[in-house]
Amino acid sequence: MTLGEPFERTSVEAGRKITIALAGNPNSGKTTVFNNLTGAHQHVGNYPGVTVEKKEGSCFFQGVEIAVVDLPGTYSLTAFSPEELVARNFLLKTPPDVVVDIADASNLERNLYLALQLLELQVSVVLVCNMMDQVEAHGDKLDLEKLSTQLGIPVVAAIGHKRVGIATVVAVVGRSGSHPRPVYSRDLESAIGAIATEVQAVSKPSGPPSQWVAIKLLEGDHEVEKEWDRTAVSKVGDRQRELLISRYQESAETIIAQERYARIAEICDAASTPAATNGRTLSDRLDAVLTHRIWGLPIFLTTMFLVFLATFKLGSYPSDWLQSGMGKLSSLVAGLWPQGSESPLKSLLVDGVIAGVGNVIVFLPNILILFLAIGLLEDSGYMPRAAFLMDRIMHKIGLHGKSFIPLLLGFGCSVPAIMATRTLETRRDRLTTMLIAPLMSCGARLPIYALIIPAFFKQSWQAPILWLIYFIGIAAAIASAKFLRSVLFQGEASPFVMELPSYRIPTVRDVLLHMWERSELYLQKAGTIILALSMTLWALTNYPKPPKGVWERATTITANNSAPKLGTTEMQDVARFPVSDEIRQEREEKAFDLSYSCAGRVGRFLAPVVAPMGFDWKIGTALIGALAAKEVFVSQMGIVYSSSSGEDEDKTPLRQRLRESYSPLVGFCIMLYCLLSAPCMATFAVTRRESGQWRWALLQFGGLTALAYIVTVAVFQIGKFFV
Amino acid sequence: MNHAAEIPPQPLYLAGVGQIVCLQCVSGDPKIRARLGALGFVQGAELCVLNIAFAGPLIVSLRDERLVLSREMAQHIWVR
Repeated sequence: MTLGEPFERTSVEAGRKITIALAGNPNSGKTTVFNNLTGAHQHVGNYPGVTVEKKEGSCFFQGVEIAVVDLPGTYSLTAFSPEELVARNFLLKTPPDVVVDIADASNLERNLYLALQLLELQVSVVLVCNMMDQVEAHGDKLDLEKLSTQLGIPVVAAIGHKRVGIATVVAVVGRSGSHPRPVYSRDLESAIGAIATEVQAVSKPSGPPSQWVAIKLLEGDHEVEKEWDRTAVSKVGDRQRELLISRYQESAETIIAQERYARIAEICDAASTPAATNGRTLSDRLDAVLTHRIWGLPIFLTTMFLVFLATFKLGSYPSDWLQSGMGKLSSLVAGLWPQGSESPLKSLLVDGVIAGVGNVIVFLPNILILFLAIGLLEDSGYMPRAAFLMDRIMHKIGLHGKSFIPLLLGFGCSVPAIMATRTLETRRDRLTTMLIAPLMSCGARLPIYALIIPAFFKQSWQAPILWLIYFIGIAAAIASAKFLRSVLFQGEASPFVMELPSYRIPTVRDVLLHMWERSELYLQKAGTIILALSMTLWALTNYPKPPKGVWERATTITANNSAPKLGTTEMQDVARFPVSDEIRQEREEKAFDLSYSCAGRVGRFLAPVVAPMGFDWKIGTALIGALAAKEVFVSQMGIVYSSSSGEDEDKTPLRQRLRESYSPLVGFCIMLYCLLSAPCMATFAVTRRESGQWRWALLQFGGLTALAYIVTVAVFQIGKFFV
Repeated sequence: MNHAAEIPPQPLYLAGVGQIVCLQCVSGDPKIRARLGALGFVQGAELCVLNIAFAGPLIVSLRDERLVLSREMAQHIWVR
């Protein structure tokens, strides 16, 4: 069997369909297995909590359709965390044909903890020992046959990220059947037995297994307790629990955890022969340097510096090539029409589509490099180390190190950042992190900086200005977190525990796949939202056209400096849109056309609102588009400026036109506003979904817009005196 | 063993870096106990503090794995 294509995808033949659920600890390689099974490209990373909700996919094996449900990664199946509850309720309410438990074989004991709980649930389980390569590299020996005998379920080996063993998983799924529940100590078993008998007497046969209910009641699981509240069962449960507590002098949930681990120890003694441990692994030696109490933080900051340096420096070369390519394309397309043609189609293609979408595509190389770097950080396992290093700093703003991972991802895109907040244990932490995540300057804002900075600032100033922008975002996030913590979410930072995976050399395939998945989204946006908005904006900036002769009359009126005489409808239009000094100086009919158009009218309506920030109506118009996606700002500016340029005139690059029109202070204010203001629609939607309530999304939207407005107005008004 | 039993348990963050200690009990609310229990912080488990950040979290080895514990979490883990 070839390893690359583990099974054939044939069309439905037998019409049979089975459902398998993938369960497993966070960071056990579950999502990789899911992707290999279904051919999906779900996101994978080397940090806990990538799988945030149950995903579904399907594949075919020997004519049988297999629906695969990827459950959230959990360590346990308690009711304490939302992910665990999602996984558990799914298994209870819609039991799949088979649960495939993906275990990280290099941390077998901890991973078996979940396996035992699955067995307690009495669902049909197959254990997949993933990352067997690491076990071998470590020199340990794991006897899968013995493990299978001990657990009473089929066990297969896999090396998820190398696609080995997946075929075996699919083959074994059909063979798994029922199995015994793990047996614990006599005391615990007698308590379980006593409660289970009570449960059996009253519960329906379709309900959850009685022994599982018994264990949950002993653990004090509040969901199960609620269900059985004030029944004979709960009385027996309480009595048995007290009995256990008095016997072991421990809390009931601790006793059960200990029992499970004792059983796991037995299983592992039988099945695994650990190599003589020499204590420090390579990962530990790396950590000694990378998480060093003095050097750790500087190393991290240097790494981040290099990431952004590469993004801008390396990215600028291919970006320039694309820029000139777009210029050639636009003159090529324009050349299809005779010189001086006023064809609307030509204008739509050149001034709308190429100017809009092209200006966004030009920044693809920068985005690719940024996503590549973030992918490398994720896959290597460095992210949790960064969280460790940043914990103390995060504490100062009332968050902890774990919140740092979502925020770091926010530099790539706010959407995965907000989804990654699921790993945070308390809702307070989650909401705070979610609300401030958009302040981490995301990849979509990059094109704006890349456009503005070289337009207004000389070479030596460019890097510091960029750092300043990123720094302002971070500072604003800190201030907002402090504010939220002191007003909305009061209280101390919650305790946390986080797995520290071994360092791993990222595979080229995975890293490139990551980079591509995310860049694909960027391109997709360019092809859909941005294309649509570009065309819409093109229409809005070109129509309605002023009637013939209005321009001449308007210039005469303003030149004579007399009040416009109202009479004809054209005159009324002119009066409604009085020609400003700015336009008069431009002396360009095109600019007048633009101000006459729909976009111009809206922009003029908004002008007084954006004026305190130093923005004119053109920027105001572009900012409206940027609400859909930040990088739209760049395309909108491209359209607004190409629409206002003379037809036969050479297309001057957008940067040059900006430099001619605005001061560096305005340029800086544009960046500032785009950095701080309301996040894009996708972020808004994901905040709504992840927080479960509209009000948090609205708060984020309104709060950030208000923040952006206040800060930008302040900077512009104060800045005016110095520049 | 008798000798060891006389030493009163101390919170994990007071154990020195590099010292192998034995877990005695876990305190805190049920949620914290369940979380730590699931990760294998059970009585008798052998732990070793690998790194402590200034006033910050700890890196601990438990069995073959490495975990980061915040200081508040480490206060609930009593070792000897």
